[in-house]
Amino acid sequence: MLFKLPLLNIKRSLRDYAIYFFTLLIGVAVFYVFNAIETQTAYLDVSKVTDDFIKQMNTILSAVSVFVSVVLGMLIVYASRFLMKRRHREFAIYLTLGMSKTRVSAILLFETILIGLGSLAAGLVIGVGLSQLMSAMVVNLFEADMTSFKFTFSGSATVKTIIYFGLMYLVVMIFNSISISRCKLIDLISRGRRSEELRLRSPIVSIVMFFAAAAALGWAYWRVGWSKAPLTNNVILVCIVIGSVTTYLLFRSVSGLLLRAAMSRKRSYFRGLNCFTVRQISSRINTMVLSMTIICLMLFVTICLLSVSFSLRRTLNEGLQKYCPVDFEISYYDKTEGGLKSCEDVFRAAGYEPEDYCDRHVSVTMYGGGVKVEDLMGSHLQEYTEIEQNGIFVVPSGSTLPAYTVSEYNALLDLRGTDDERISLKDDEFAMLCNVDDIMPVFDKALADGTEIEFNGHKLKNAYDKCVDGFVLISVSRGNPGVIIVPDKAAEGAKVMYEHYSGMYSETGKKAKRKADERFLAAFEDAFKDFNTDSVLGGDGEEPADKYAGELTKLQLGDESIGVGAMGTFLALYIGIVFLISSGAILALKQLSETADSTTRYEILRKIGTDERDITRSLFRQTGIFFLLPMLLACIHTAAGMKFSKRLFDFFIKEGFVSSMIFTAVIILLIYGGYFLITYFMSRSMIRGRSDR
Amino acid sequence: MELLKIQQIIKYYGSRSNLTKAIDDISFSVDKGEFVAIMGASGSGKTTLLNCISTIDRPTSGSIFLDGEDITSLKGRQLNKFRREKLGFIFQDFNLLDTLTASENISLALSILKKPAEQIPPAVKTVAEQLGISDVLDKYPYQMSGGQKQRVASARAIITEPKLVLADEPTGALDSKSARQLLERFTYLNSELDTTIMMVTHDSFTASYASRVIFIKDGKLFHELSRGSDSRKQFFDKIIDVVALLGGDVSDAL
Repeated sequence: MLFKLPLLNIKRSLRDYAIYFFTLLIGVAVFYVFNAIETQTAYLDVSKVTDDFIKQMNTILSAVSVFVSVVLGMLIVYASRFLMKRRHREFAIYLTLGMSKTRVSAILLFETILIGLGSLAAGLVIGVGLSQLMSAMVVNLFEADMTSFKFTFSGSATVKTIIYFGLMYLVVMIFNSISISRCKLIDLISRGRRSEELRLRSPIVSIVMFFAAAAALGWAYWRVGWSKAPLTNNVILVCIVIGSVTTYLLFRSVSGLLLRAAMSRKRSYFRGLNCFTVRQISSRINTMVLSMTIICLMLFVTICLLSVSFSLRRTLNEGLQKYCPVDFEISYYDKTEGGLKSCEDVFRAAGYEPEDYCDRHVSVTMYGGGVKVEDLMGSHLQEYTEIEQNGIFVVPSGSTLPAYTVSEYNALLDLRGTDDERISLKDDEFAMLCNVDDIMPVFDKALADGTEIEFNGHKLKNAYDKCVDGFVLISVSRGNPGVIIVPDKAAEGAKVMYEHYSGMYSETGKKAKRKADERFLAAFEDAFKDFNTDSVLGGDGEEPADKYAGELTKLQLGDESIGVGAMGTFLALYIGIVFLISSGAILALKQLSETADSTTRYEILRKIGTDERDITRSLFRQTGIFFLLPMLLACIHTAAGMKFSKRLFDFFIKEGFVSSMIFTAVIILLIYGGYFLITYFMSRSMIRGRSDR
Repeated sequence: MELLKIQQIIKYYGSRSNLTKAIDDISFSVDKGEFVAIMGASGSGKTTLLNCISTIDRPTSGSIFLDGEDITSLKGRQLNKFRREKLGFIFQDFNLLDTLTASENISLALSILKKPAEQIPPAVKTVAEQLGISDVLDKYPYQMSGGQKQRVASARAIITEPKLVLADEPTGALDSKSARQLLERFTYLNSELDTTIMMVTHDSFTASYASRVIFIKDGKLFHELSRGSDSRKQFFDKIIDVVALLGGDVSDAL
């Protein structure tokens, strides 16, 4: 009997358990897939930079796995307790028949074990299958070479999945036995028949609460997204708290408001089943305000994570092509007595000729020259410092703007071979070069005023009334906070800060370039072996050493952006999918149990002659609105969140944003929409189940 | 004028080897404006009969005509249409929607008929006055007494002006005072508004409010009583006599 009852129970309540089992299945599969990445990446043929990123990513993934298992664990405990509640009558029958509580616990235990083993086994099978697709994605994201399809099976991920889920099931078992041993028979019997007490809040309270919450939320949005005032961590924290609390309050008041709004529109309220539908929805929202809030916040995090991470990769890739037009760049200075003047000399001295590693090369010199931000900004300094306080990447106020000569800059442009505007200056003119979008308008204003600067004893006026959009140093984004370009004459005798030595490899093709890069880096290491190489490259801050040389190559930058992009994508997918299935499962379980409680209502509707079509339409609307509501608010949150993140990392999130949004929407539609459809069809069969014909 | 005509209906349950005859060849008819009670012990087939008339169940053979239309041949969507347009239901356990207020419960019957919204509130008001529930219209079912609930259910049944109101043990869940109030309302609806009512009960007192009582035993017509010019008390005594003949189990219910 101990073995037969659980089997029969599961079979009987298959409908209730289907969603639970389905969720466990996806949970196990996702857990396996993301933990198996470690095995899959172990054999990838990638560069050292990428390899470091992979190692780092695997560490982060396994840390996130702990978080994920906590989320899934809570979901499982929630779901199993929820299913338990629905079976109180059944337990009451066992107990009245004289079965001991230990025995009932044992039956439950066995059920949990059955479901656990089943879902683990099936989930692992699905996981292994999906992880083959994942390995294609791994290869693709890390831009490794996929020589041939190889079936991978990760033993360590399997063991890890079994251990983590085993622990979760153990927690569920403990919870179940505690709740069985605590409950009283009378509660078990009466709980099945609790009449639905509808606590309708006063409409005025609802309306006031709704608009107050909406106003507070609006303020928080404005503060993080639109307001010009500086954002400190505390402000952000306050806004997050306001966002969460108002989400709760909005869900708490929306049902009352919805009801009032619907009732005031008499014409539609009295059409067909509308009044029934509205009442059903409002009572359902009322009973799960907290769950709705959590679901909404999880969806919000998911949408943000997915869309940012998908566009991140693209942005970095495109940024690399645009903002890193040369193959290598060395920043160099040697302040020691008798030190060599240029990079090239150092190479030569070590026995390397430029022809050994590159084809074309150019040196540009960065001068000090004493033009401070303040000198340039004039009356617009206030605006400048505000932007600086907002955390935008700018030349710190009070420090000197770097300067380059016009001929060297134009030579650099020639080397890049891009069609950027060449700068031409008279002897008493200068130009401003910048491409950080937030600060450019401020520079433009200052330049439009016709500010004069004094550079190295020369008075210079601006040649252009706007910033020139451009950069000197390579990066993967629009990262030039502002440099000045001066006539060659003016720079004579100015203080030299750095020499930037850039060049292009003669080789073409991916593999040949990689080889050239290795050869160049080896030459650099050798030639500059007694130089300090770990300095932060900056304006005119402290110079940490007398001899400095730092190298940066396009391939290094590329590998880094591949690594960052891939890492972001995997993490976002992992957390996003887990959040999505959690939200979907909670909503589905709630909706299904509500439908089970409502079957008598549908019977009544049928008895008084309602069309089956009207009934299913009402059910569809109920389920739809139930799933849509948290999603709607999450989307509104996302709109503000995006504005905020755009402000934070301005030079990210720009390219390919629409396509990443579409990709995000597809993933959400697949998982969340899948839960919605399953829920709808299951509830439909539930309310039809009882009708005779 | 003949409204409902039942012709030799038979309803069998079960398989060939284990056959239960719930209704075994019953025929009778109900005129427009009549108030008929059907009495019988539990298991006599009275609820099956009611289910067949209300198209919730389908007889094995025989025909049921309402207003000249054979309702046993209706199918699918026609059934729902027939139910909501021609019939009004009153159930023992009220069958009110617990999420809706009394007035919404009543108006639902009209709104599923796709009646224009502006006609609904006045209609609800009128019928609520007729049944004496004007003061509970904004309450939810759980805030009402059993008698009030049943009168709300009755209001829902008659607001569509159905050809026939079917009541299945309408007083079954009510205390005697509420039961009397409800039945007086039925009499009022029947005499003043000319509503045709068919009520299934096993309670002689309830049945005594009807103008005619049909007795069923083991799926067959057993006896029929017409009130004629008798007072309700005299009619009640006559019913009691028949019930005594029917067998012990019904009189127990007194």
